[in-house]
Amino acid sequence: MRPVIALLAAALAVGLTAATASAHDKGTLKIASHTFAAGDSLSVTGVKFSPRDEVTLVLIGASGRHPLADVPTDSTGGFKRGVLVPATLAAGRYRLIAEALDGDEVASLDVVVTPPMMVSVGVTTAMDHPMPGMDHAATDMSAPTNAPVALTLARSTPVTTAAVILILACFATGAALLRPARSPQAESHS
Amino acid sequence: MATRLALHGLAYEVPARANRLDFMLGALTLAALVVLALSGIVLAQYYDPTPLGAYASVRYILEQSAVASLLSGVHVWAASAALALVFAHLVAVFWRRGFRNPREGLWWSGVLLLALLFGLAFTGTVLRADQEAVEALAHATAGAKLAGPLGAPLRADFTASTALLSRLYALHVSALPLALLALLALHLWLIRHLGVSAAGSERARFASHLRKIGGASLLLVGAVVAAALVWPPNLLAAGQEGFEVTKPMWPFLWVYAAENLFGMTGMLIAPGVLFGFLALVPATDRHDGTAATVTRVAGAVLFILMISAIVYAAVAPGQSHLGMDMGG
Repeated sequence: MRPVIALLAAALAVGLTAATASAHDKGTLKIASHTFAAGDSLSVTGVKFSPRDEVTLVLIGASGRHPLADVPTDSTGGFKRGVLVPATLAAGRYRLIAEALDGDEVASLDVVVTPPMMVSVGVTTAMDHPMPGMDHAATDMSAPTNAPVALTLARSTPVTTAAVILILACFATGAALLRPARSPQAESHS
Repeated sequence: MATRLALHGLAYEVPARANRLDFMLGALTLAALVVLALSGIVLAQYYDPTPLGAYASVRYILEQSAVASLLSGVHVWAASAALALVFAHLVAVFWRRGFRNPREGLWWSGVLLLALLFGLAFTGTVLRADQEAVEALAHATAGAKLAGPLGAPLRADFTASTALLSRLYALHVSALPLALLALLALHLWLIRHLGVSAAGSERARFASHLRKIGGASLLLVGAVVAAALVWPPNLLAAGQEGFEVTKPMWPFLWVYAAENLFGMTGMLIAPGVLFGFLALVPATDRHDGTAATVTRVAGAVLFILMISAIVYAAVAPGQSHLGMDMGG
């Protein structure tokens, strides 16, 4: 009986330790303004998190999750970190959350992301450093329109030639296959 | 070799009228779907299905890779062709009452295939991550909220670890094509065993029918590639939420028109009316009589209304919905 009790006690101790280890201190996030633009650099301050831990800053909106940065906390459970808000982020309401390593949400803030460069209260702009693959047309500062972006479509002579040959081959073969059979009587019968 | 490939299975007869174009619309839709699958496989090698990378990867496809750029045009034109052909096929089958006993299953599987094609067109639009995509997604998520638990997969917080865009990509390239494939298999099986709903006693060999289908399909492929070369696809600026400045892709314009007239309710009711009607057709037009006549007239009115709504929405000035801004 004693070994069984000892085993149960040990399991309970291990369970409690694991439960304690997975608990996280709920912290607080602070930013200068709760409204900022896509493409801006944002200074985020965190306090009262688990000391010497790591949190992930994530923006969550209708379009999904947008991880911003993994940030280590200091011995007091605090941090101060500049993060770049993606220039490609669609404007709208988001939640800025801090996630612990196991995915637990340990702090959150409601924020509003505006189109690039529309506001910059308490934040510095980062339009000089747009996201890779984005150019000025893609990060247009004005309200959106239904006008297509001026694209320089990729074209190459071999690809275009191959496409034209394919088109001609399709039309020629297709027309040949659609031609009536030479002897309809042999082809179909009542 | 013919024995090993069981080609004798193709040695059967079909009605000679099946070689007419109006009986080949379904097969042409299938040809467009094959083009969509092949071009989609190539495009998937370039596309980044994450919210941050999607738009940039679409621009890369259009601006940096000649092959992918051409194939994106082929993909867009083949999608339009598939939707136009499947709609024409539906109208043709409705008109010749190809849904009557014993072909009810054929009709219903076709209606489900039409719904899946709309689903593929919607998810494909969203994947571009441009302004039209953001607006389409805003409408879908608003509709999903009204749909309650059924709309849960279209909510951003349905799964915490994966963005909605990535999940829609997964739908576009896996779940919807798999469902399409399964329904197509059922549809073709039923056609093989119930036969084509063509009148007349004159018969033709299936091989000659296959030859005609192959010819028409090649013309379609040639036309799609030519269209992609001459009229490459457009791309709008990266999407901004909270604005509505675009109109949807043409197959959705009738829903857009309904939303213009009746708001969000119209957007939900219009597809409900169409698909509800299509589902009921085999039951209400079972035998000749008043119910059959009413069904025929109602169908004609519905199709004419749908086409009129598409034309109206295409030429009418844009409207914003869901409280969104119309921009500058």
